[in-house]
Amino acid sequence: MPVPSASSTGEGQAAPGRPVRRRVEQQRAQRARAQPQQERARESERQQRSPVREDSALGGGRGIRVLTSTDVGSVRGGVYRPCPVLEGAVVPWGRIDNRPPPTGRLMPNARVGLLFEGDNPVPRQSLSVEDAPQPSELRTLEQAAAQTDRQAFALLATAIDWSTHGATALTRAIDLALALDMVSLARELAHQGNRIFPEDRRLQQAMAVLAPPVVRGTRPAQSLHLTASQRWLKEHASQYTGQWVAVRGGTLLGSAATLQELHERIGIEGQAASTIVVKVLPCASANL
Amino acid sequence: MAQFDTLLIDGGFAIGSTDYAEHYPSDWHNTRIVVTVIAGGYAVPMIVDTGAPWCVLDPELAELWGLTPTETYTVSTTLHVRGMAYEGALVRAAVALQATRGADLEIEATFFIPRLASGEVWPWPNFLGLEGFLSRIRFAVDAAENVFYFGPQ
Repeated sequence: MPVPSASSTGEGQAAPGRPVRRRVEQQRAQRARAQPQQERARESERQQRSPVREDSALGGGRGIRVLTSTDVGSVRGGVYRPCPVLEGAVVPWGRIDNRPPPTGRLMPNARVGLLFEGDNPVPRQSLSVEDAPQPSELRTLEQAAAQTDRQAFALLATAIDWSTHGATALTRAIDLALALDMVSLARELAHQGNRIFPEDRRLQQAMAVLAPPVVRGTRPAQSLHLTASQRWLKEHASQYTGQWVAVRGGTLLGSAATLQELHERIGIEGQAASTIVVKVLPCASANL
Repeated sequence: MAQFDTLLIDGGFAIGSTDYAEHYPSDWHNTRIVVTVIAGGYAVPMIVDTGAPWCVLDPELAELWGLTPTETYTVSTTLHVRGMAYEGALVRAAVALQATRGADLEIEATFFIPRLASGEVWPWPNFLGLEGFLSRIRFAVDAAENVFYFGPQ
């Protein structure tokens, strides 16, 4: 599952400070001049009720700027999606995970980020994003994989704090580890993923599939009399090249172009552990 | 009874042994270790291959056994066979190593199911590979008597 590509704005981290803020305000003013008067009035009223502010502290101390109308609450997780409207300025905003309380209304605003409407300030608890520009460490990981640098890949993958990235990124790392034949690392990442994102179905699946083989049980050996069928195959299989054949007790039960056809052809009587089912391969194919 | 049945089975190394075939059906020129695996109600020949990272299953067998992935996301990987790269999904399936003496061993293992283009057929045998199967059992080969011993770790 590929990590979504970076936005046109690049890193996803805002350069903090006055120049960006000034640019935001300038852009807002430009749009305001272009708006119909009525809409401007509504916007002004809304701004007065819940002024937009930036709070770099809410960016998790990573230099990420968050525009919001209140600083109630806290931010967990670090990466935010750049606001697409404010081109040239990396202004993050996020999607609210928790439901807004009934007295207020949380409204993602394409121009300024998150905006709270209503008379009562609404506590904002946690933000998460589905898509984010790819942080540099993930890009470096992709590069290591592309260069088949297993050592660098392993060092990076084990050093990254995956709790600061989404489950998608970790799933991608698992896929890359498998592509590099680094099964133990893929397994370890899947374990980590299950700890950090226990609800993510993809990581649950990765953990299940990459788990070591498990002995389910034993049962007494059955007398299946396969020797006669193996002898039949040795003597006659070449006559059925490209076909699926079913043989039991040294007798051909049937042959077909597909396994499904064969399965239907031999019926319930032919479906037994003593029936050998095999596709007769051309000689060159069977040779690996 | 094979020469080392008592030593290996009674000695606790293995729980069963099977007389393996030296050739995969239709490949009579190459010597292999071909054991029979019981799965989906049938006896299926599979090549024991410690060089294969995963067990590999013909997609038609996987479909018959209901192993074809239906989820939107599947754990995927690429397997190289004879210089050809095959994309495929990794799935979990239970198979039983069929014993001639002693006991069968049922194992839940990871199989690589190749994703083929429409109309394409899988031209290779089935394999029991290292990572998803062999690495977690004990096994031994007596080539003098064509016996494959196996047991849980």
